[in-house]
Amino acid sequence: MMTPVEMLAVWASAIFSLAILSFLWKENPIYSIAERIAVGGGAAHGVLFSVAAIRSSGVEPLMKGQVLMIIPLLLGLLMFTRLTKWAWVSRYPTMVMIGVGIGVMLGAIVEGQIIGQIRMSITGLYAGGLCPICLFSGLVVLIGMLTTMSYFIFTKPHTGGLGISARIGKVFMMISFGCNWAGELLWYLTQMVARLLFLINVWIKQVILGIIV
Amino acid sequence: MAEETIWEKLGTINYKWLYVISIIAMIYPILSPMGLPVTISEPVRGFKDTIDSLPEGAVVIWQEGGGGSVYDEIRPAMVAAWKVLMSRPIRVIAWSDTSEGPVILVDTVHKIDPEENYGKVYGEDYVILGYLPGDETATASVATNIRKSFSTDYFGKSIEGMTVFDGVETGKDVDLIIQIYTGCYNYDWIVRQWVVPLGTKTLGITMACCGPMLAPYYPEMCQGYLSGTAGGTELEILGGVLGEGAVVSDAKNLGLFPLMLFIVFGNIAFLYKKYVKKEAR
Repeated sequence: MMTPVEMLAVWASAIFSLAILSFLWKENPIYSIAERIAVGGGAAHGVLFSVAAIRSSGVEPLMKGQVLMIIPLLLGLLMFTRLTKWAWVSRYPTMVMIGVGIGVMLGAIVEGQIIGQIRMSITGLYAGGLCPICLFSGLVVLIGMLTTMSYFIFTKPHTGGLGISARIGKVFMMISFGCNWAGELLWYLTQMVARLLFLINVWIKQVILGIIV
Repeated sequence: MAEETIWEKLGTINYKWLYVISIIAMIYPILSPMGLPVTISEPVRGFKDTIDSLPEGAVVIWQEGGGGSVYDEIRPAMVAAWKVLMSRPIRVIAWSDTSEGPVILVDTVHKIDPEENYGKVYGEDYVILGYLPGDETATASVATNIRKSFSTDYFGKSIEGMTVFDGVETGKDVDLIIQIYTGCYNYDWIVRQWVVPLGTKTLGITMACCGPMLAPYYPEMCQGYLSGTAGGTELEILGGVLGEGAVVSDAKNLGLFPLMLFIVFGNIAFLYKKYVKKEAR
């Protein structure tokens, strides 16, 4: 049995869902209100969680004696100088953030995303054993990788052998983009299905009709 | 004026009909579940096998990267994965690299109810830490020392004395990392911060559109992954932990048919207009 607060949450969720779905018909004031509330709520949520994260990972350790925590906290505060006439000061924390970000990333990029990928493209030929399908699958990946890379060779005109290879690479890329787009479409469908599930099973059946699903 | 052919009419059909037909197709399996057949893919088998192969007391890091807008897409996979994890005598330490992550994580764990259904104890068998900003830098921080990255859990309780952290100091003490990511390239963080420097086993849960970005890492740098609701449904069936995935998959599969038909008809209409009619003129 739902508590009154849960019931209220379900009603609010159902009304907002229908308000957002009303956009399928055409843009209207109800949709606009729901959209603005969702954006505002999301922004407020983000701010609150960021403040909580700074407290948990910065302020509290500082209070417990981790004096060095003062450095990231000060750098974070300097970001707010953007809002003042000393906006240039914010370049220092930005510089540190970019430097640390690139430093953290670069270390493993060669092994993980270049050498490792090349190795897997080669070993992929016999990864599933010596069955014809596995070999064919590995071969497709290998050809796909080589021809796609050849498409990005811009120092030579795409004629002759390179032209053929680049065109095959283009086909592989189009297939890849098609897969991604199909996946995106599936995501949108899932969102719709989940909303319908909620509206039918929770809102209509449980709350309005009182049926236990 | 020449009369319009069927293909020309199809090309100008009102798109609202597509919505109506798709919604009807999606509602039908919700009202009357169909149980369409599901094939278990290799990455999903890898996902389950990797969890099954963990020794007793193993430490799993759950890196939550989802948010409200994608929760519907990854929820069946998250729920099924938590059910499989909780059925094993292992420890799970969960944290989030997105601000909305803790909210959906708590909702998922609430659905599982580890205390009631699996006899697990919060703080001993699993813990939900909060949000740590910084994306890949935060991932690196957790890989270096998770205990120094957080002072409290998501609920504000100090993590000091929580036995779930016993023997967990650095990333080397972690047996498996599961990343839930919805920015399609975020799995690269795991490869760069966990797989290459530490050689940790990894699993991924993501949306259907991000699955292809994870595939190149499988099986060497990612031992298994669940892509979208389909991946969740497959794990539900493979792990014997049935949930909402099957219903969602049925409705999604049926809802796809009208869209596919409209795409095919739209293309025929376009090509007819471009070539056949041009030739006739």
